[in-house]
Amino acid sequence: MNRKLIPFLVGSLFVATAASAADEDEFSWSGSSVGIGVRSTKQEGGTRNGASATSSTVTTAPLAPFTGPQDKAKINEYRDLSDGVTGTIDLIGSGKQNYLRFFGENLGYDDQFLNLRGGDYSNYKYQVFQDKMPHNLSWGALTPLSGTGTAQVSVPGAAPGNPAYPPFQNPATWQQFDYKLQRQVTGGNFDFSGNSPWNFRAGYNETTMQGTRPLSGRLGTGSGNGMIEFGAPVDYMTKDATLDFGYSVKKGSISVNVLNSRFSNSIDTMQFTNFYMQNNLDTVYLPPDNMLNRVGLNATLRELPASSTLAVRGTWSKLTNNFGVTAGALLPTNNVLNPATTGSPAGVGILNTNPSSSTFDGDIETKTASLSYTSNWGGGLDSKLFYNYYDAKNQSTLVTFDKGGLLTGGAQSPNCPNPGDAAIGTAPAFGWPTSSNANMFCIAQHPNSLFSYNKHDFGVEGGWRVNRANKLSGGLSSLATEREGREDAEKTDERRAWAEYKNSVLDDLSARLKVAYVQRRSDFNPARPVGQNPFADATPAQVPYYYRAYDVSNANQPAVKLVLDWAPAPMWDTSLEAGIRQTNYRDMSYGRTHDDRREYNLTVSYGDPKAFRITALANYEIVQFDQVYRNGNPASGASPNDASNFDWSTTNTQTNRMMGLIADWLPRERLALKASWFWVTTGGGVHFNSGNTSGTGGYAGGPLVDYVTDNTQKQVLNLKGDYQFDKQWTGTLGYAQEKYDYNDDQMKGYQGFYPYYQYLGGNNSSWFSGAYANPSYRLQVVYMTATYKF
Amino acid sequence: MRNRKQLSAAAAKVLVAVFVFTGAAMQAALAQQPTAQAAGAPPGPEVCAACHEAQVQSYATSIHGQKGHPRSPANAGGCVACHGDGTEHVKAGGGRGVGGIRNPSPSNKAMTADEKSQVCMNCHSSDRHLAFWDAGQHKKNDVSCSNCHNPHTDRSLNNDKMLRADVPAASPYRTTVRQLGYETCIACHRDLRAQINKPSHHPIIEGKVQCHNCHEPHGAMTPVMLKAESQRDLCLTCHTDKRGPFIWNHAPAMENCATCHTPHGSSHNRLLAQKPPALCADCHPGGHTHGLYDGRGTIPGVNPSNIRFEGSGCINCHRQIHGSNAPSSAFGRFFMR
Repeated sequence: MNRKLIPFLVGSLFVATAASAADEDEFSWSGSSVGIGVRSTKQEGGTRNGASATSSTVTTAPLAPFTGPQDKAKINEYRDLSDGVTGTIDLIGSGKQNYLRFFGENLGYDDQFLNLRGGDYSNYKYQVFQDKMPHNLSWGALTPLSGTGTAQVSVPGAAPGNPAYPPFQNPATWQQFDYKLQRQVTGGNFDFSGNSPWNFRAGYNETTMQGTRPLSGRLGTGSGNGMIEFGAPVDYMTKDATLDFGYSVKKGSISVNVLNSRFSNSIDTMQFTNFYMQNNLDTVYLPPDNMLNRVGLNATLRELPASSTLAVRGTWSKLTNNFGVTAGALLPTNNVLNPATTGSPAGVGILNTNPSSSTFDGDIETKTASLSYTSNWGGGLDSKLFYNYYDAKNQSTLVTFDKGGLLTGGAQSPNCPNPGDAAIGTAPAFGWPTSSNANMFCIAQHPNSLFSYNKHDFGVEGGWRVNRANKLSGGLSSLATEREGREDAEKTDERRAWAEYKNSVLDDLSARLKVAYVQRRSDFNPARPVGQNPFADATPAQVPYYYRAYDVSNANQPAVKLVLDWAPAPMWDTSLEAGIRQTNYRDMSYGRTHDDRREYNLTVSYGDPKAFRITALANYEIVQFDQVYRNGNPASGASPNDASNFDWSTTNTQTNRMMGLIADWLPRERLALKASWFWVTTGGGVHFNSGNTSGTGGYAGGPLVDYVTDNTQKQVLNLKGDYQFDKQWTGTLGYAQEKYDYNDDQMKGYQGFYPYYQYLGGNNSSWFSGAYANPSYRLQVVYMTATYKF
Repeated sequence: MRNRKQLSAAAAKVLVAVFVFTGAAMQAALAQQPTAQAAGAPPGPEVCAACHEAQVQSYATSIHGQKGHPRSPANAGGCVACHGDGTEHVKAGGGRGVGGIRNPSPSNKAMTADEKSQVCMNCHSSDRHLAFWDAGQHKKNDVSCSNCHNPHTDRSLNNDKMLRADVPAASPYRTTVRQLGYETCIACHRDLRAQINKPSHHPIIEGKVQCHNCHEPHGAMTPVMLKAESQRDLCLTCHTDKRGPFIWNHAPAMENCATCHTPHGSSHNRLLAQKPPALCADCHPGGHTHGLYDGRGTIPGVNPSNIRFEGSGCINCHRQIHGSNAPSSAFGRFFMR
């Protein structure tokens, strides 16, 4: 469809132009313009400067310095900044009966945008569009695997028994690739009303997403075994078709709408090198195809008693898919090296998990109903009653697996063969691992969990306009949630109250103060099944018994927000916004205990935008999350701390600061200048506290080290001048500069100590690609455009 | 099965009956409505242009100035359709508010938001996209049509909706010359100006996602005027690969995407509300024996590093966090394949 779109758009233009010629009135293209220009950029990406290591500690083996490729992805994250000729077309046509609008920009670039709209003023209208967008994630990644972006990424040298384990220790020999996606939406719609209250609308669009994204898999049986990161293929297509039929007049409206949306992924599974697996290949399951059908009904009745309006909406949707359930789960070893000290991990067999169904029929049915009744009672009084119902029922196939669970030292299922038995299923060459831990994959039957839920949200809001300059508002509401398939909190009730006061007594000052309070309570089941065995309930001797998931835990949340708008003198405008919201989690020992969010925004503006105006803006935001954990088992909330069993906690802080200056200046009638500069920085990280006061304060002698996360600083300068030579020609000259610096201790695993290839000792080696490791960049852009207006 | 078909057929019949009945009732009501009064003697655009040339010019080239549209102001006297009879205004020699002239601009405190919106609603109340205007937050919060739209604005640069952009926006160099929807919204939603400039953001400042792609500013039944029945339904409109259905579900991902993501902007990749592993630890304390901190140091590179903190944290291994179809609980239930 992509290739056909441009000819279609051009053809449509001719047809529409012909139609407009038939218009009795002269069809005018007044206001249309065509622009052509050039752009030149200088881009510099951050490098993952680091070193590869062959030892678990930097002190026992020297680091081999290694400079990775530049990563320019963040510069081009959502934009195509390629050097070259740029163009913009803006055709505005209108006549007595018809109108036509075509807009196109970034022609030939990855962020091209085309939009054609037209129609007859009183009968119909149409639109055809195409919007492309790059999403560049991380460039200059490295991998020892070949086949990046395909359904199999592997290395031929990784066959079982490879004596040189761990292989591929030198990232200088690896292959370079980019993590990037390209999205394209192409579609159109047609509206017909025939100058009547009836209306009909049909729409269709296709969205494609293609490229390579990061994926990774752990190696071996435990998360301490290291991992491998690689490029996974993305080849998605979504086709959406909509129909809408309705009737609308001043007194009310009613409409029925239908949606059919089909998602397809051309690659359902992919294989990647896992040294612990049979043939060194492991399998990962990519997003499955699906189809969504939805029917909705909207209706509104206005001009009811007390100037009331009744609005209702009901929807029904069904999300379905169907695919075969793979029976063979690849079975890793217990990290046994072969030979014992230098060889690769022993590849083992395929475990037939014996699923109860060979196919999976995905089926999620969603029903919603909403009602709103708003009234104006006179005397400045207004009210609103509302109710929202949402029910999502997962009716997909319940699949029970006989094997393939995960339980350390757990009891075997009677149906589960012993380690050392002959090969099972279709795996011909390998038997069960001889490891004593192999039976951790061989537990009793375990089914998938089909999560369903429903929500009832109802409330009342009221407002009283005391006079033209004062208004009081408030509201109460309740949200009840019931869940199936989530054992920790099957029911949650949330009650909300808010009040607001608006004042604009003074001509040059208006103020708004809002306070809100939310109370959430859940029926919490502390003995929910937790951990690695789906059948083992938590006991008071386990940490999870005292833990609460933050999205359902009991909490009280007060919030306050103040907005001031003040014009202290002619040409001065000032606005201040301040908001504070705290959440106090309660009835728990471990988990998130508190969070606090504060945000302040200030804008000061002086001048007349038609002559000279300068605007200063500032923002400060700080968010703090407090969490408490328990190290060791057994544990209880009241247990004292000792060297092995102790509480520890984190304070996770995130800050955001922004300052900017924007100036608009019209020094001459034909000259317009604009300059903007802004600076944004994000900060924060994790601060640790430990209840273990022995030794260095950490468990087993390990240090507690605070670290920073996603600390960034960005400066942007934009300068632009437009000079109007005459009524037709305008020239634009611009310059932009951007500087972005990134610092994150979590990413120093890539760039500081163990870049790309990481050796943690024993059989725990990891192979990283460097995704997102250092998105720092520098950018300079110079551009010129000449625009002809006709 | 048969019962379900019968039920569906019955429901369809009821729906059609309700639709036809309601439509017929409304048609009857419409027939009883008085027709628009013919334009009288009030001054028309040619008179107003003497003082308000730019406004009249923008009116003439906009849809409001086209007589081909039966409902356009051009067929109802021109300027008078929105601004009222200007006879006294002209007699008095003009002036702001003089002669009872009606000016629904945002800066006019003499009119309430409802009164300003009513100027537009006289013609637009039956527009389909305004069906839920009364139920929405904007009307309740005294936002009038003219707070966002200016029918006299420059329509070039794809600004067909005649949106205002009165408050300057800060953004990096962008490749689009279009006026973008967020430039209108930040006039009131000032906190978003900082949010959408955070390192991880939807491509709003780049013009590839517009506020109205997710929110319906003209009113909606859903809280925060989302364009779908729930936040998750909205997200899955674009992120169709996350729909599933999966054999193994991650319950919070099925109930509310905002449990983990913050849609307007974040310091962390993928619009995460916190950086893993801290984010995951808000719900999962002891999946691993000693929790996150197992005594091997906290950050990478420290003697030796803890891989659970490194890079993407938990997501390094639990990549299929939205759901998995792997055929075992060892990999599928824990979203590792």
